[in-house]
Amino acid sequence: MTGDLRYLYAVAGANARARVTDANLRGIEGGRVEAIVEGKLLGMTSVVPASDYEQEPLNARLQDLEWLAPRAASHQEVNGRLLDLTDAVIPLAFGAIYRDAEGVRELLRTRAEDFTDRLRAVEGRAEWIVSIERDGSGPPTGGAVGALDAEIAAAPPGRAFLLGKRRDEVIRDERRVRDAAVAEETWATIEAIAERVYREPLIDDPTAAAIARFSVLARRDREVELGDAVRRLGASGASDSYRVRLSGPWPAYRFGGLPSERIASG
Amino acid sequence: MTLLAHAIAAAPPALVAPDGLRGRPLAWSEAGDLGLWATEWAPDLKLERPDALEHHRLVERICAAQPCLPVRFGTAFATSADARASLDKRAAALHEALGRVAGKSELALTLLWRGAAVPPATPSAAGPGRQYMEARRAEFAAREARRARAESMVETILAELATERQFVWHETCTSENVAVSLAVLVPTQLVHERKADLERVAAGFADVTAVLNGPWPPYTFARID
Amino acid sequence: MKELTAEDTSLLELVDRLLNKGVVLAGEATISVAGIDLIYLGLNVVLAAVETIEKTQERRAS
Repeated sequence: MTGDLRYLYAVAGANARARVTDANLRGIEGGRVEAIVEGKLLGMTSVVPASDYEQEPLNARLQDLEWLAPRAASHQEVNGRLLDLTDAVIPLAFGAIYRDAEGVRELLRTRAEDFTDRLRAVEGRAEWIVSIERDGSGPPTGGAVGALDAEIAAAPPGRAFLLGKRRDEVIRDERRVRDAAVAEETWATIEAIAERVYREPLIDDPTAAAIARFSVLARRDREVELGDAVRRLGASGASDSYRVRLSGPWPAYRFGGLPSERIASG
Repeated sequence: MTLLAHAIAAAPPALVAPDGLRGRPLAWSEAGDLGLWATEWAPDLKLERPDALEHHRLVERICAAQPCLPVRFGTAFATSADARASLDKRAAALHEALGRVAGKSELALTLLWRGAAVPPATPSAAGPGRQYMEARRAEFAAREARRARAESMVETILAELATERQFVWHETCTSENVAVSLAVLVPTQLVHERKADLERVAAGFADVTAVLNGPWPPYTFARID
Repeated sequence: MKELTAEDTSLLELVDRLLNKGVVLAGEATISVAGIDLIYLGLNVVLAAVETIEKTQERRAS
């Protein structure tokens, strides 16, 4: 039908067709989510109006948070349901648009091997996000700062000026060291449970609360273990003044998208 | 030959007068496409206060001739081979830093508090123990208020400068007198305009005196860690 | 109240940069010149710079 395009949410195995069809999912703009099968793969799609989703109008819309937010939520809702309905699903980022069903089929044909590999890598698995935030201004600072404080209290203004700057630098350095230690400990803890851990790049901003974020790929049955580990991290003395959060399970947005490595079977 | 380091630049070396510290020869030690400007020193010479300021003038002279990274004052190498090895080891980071500072100069804005932080003690009917507590509380409240005020002034300045985060450095309340100490890296041709901008913004704050310095070589933005 | 003048402040900001900023080439560099640890050297320079400021303040006060 002219004036319509196909929005692609995710790719799964063709064997999931019955389950996803029976679920009668609704997606963006309330559209019915349909499976388009090609070979051993299927693409989950719905119809969207060209007036909004053609490249130019879409680019303009993407700047508008009010327009984007509910649609991104719909996108995530569909993919979240697919995680429950299938053994393996590769979610796409928001905004994968195709001319028509044939366009989607062609994608599935040309990238068949790639998608098959990626699906195998995430079968029975899900993604979680572990994020670490600074909670408040931090613990009382250590000996070096205390010693400087004493010197500063007794110092004339010129010396106090210079020592005050040094004190600030010492505090920043100590904080960097503490942040790194907490991030290290968290990484080691979740690595022991997860299959893959990816440290997400963060903007280096000393004023920002978030100091680290990890995407974690693990078998779904390790969810409880992961939750327990994160809770223990949050409660430990070492992570005083840090908050460790766990969110998920999500479909594999990060690990479905990383260049697939040949994963040894077994 | 001991070398007393001044600045790092990309090869080839610019044309700079050959006089280093205390009239001793200025040398260029090249490693790949980087080089170190340093004075040929002697290990038995003690550094003194005038040397620090002369080092600064040398760094200024070098930076006027080519983009360079000031080296921490007092850094000395036993041999030029040591100097070259040091550059080689950090080549990528040094190149990145040079790219960051090229064509730019550092401006320094210091805002000093006018008047005292702690409100004068008001005579109180309470006993001495209670008075002490009240005084401490007032002191704490005043310090917190100053901290908040300093942060808010920084926000105003940052909004005015509208510069990328990596080109601004700031500290607040590092000592009794200092509200804000801020360094910003600006294109050298815009130094006069930026200074005027900073003066104008600072003039809007009635509770501080502004001290503006620069253009200086990019001391604050030469970090490579 | 002990205050700093604009001149004092400018000198102090410069001294801070000379001693505490700039590229740090640790490891291969001898950080002591003529056997004086850089930290102490730094302090000596600090003290010398500060001495000047204090002397100036004394002069102003008298």
